[in-house]
Amino acid sequence: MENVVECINLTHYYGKKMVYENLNFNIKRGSILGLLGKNGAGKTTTINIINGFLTPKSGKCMILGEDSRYLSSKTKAQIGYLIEGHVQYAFMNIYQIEKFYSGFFPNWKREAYFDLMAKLKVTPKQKISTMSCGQRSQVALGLILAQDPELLVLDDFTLGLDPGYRRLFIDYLRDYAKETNKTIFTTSHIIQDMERLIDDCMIMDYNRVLAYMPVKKFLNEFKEYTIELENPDIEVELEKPIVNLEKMHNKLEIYTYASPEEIKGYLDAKGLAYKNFQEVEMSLEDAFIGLTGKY
Amino acid sequence: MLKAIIYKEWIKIKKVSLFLLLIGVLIVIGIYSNVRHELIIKDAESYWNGILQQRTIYFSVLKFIPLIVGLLIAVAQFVPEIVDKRIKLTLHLPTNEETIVLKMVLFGFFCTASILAVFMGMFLGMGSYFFPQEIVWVSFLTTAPWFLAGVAAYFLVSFIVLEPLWKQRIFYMLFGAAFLGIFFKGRFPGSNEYLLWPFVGLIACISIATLFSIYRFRKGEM
Repeated sequence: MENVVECINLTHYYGKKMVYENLNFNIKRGSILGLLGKNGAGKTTTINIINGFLTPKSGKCMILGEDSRYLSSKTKAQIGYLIEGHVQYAFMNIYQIEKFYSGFFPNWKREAYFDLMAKLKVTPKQKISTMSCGQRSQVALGLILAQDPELLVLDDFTLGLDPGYRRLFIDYLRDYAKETNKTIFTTSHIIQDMERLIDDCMIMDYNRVLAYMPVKKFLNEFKEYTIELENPDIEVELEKPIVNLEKMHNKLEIYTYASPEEIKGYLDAKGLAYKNFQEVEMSLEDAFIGLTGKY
Repeated sequence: MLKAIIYKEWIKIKKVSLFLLLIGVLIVIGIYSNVRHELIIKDAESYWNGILQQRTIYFSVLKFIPLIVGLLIAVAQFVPEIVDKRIKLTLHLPTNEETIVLKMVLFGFFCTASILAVFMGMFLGMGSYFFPQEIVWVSFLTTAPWFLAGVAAYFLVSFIVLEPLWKQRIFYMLFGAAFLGIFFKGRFPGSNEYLLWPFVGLIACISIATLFSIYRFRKGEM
C-alpha cells in the first residue's frame, strides 16, 4: 500500500529548544494516524511542517510524493486542512464561505457541504464568528467534505467541542474516510473518543516518541497493573520492564508492555512486599495518561 | 479564482471603504462650503490675498485623510487574516502563495486608489468652480504627495500587519512612520512638485514588501 505521507528524520528546534530529533513516520493510503501528545509536545509543529508552513531544521516530509516545502497547487488541492480551534474566515456566513472556496476547487461537492449545514440551526446571514464552537466545527468539516481531498490534516479538532459534537465529528469523519478510502492525519491532546477514529497512534512526549503502532496493538500490549504495597514509604524505581509508575499512598499503578508474570517476577526480584495484584482494563485515554504521566 | 479572491477581500473591506468614501466626500464638500462662505459672506479680498500672497492652504483639513484611508483599508483587509493565523487558510489554497497575496494586495490597492481618486477628482473639480486653473494646479501639486502617502500607508500597513512577530512589527512601524513623514515635508503649496515621481518610485519599491512577511511566515516565524 502506498504512503500518502512520509516523514523522514524530521528534526526541529525553536531557538535552542529541541522539539524532536529524527522523527520518522508514514501514513498509508486509507489509514488514519493520530498524533497524540500533551500541549507543547510538537503536534502543531508537525502539522505546520506537513503543510509547508514551517521548514524543519533537517529531514523532510513527502506528501503525495512531493516535498512539503514545495507543494504544488495540484497537491494542495488534495490536502484538506483543519486549523486548531476550527478556525475559518469568521467574517463570512455559511453561504459566502462556500461561494469563496468553490472558486478554488474544480471538483467542489457543494451538496456534501449543504447536507451538513442543513443540520445546523443557524440563520442564513449569521456570521461564523457568532456560531458556537460545535457549529464552527461542522462548517469546517463541511468545507473539507466539499473539497473531497485525498489527505485530511486535522490539527486538534476536538479542542473546544462538547461530547456530542465531538462524537458527531468523529463518527462523520470515520464513515467518510472509510467509505471513500481517504487518509487522515490528526493530532489531539484530548484522547477521549479517539479510538473510535484512528487506526494507528503515535504518542509523543516532549522531544520523543513514546509509542507508534496500531491502536489495537497498543491497547492489547500496553498494560496497567495495580498493587498495594505493604510498606507505603518504599520508593519503586522506574526501570525496565516498567514504562511508567504512579504512586498514591500505598497504591501503585504500574504501566508496562510486560505480562503479569513478568511484573510479578520483577517485583519479587526487587523484594517488594505487596498484595491485591490486579490487571486494569484501559481505554486509549487511560493508556495515554499511563504512558505520558499525569504531570 | 481571482473572482473568489475579490469576493472575499470585498467582504472584509466593504464597510470601511464605503464609510471612508462618505467621510472623504463630506470633507471635500466641507472644504468648499467654507471657501464659498469666505468668498461670498466674509471678506473675499483678504481670502484671495491669503491664498495668493501668504500661500495659505485652504484645504489643510485634507492633509491626513488619504493616509487614514490607506491605513484603515489595510487594517480591515489584513487584520482578519492574522487573527487566529487565518493566513494559513489563504496560503493553503491551491494556488501559488506569493501570487494569491499579491492579488489580495492589488485589490486593496485598487480600492484605496479608487477612493482617493474620487476625493482628488471632487477636490479638483469643485476647486475649478471657485478658483482659476493656476490655483487648482498648485492645489493638485500640494495634495498629490498626501494622496501618495495614502497609497504608501496601504502598502506599509499591509506589510506590517502580515509580519508574524511583534518585535519586527514595532521596528517596521517606526520605519513606516519615518518613511511616511517624507510625504508631508513640504511647507508651501506645490513645494513637492519635483518629488512626485521619486515618491511614486518609493511606493513601487514597498508595494511588494508583503511578500517578505509571507516569506518569513512560511519560514516558521510565528
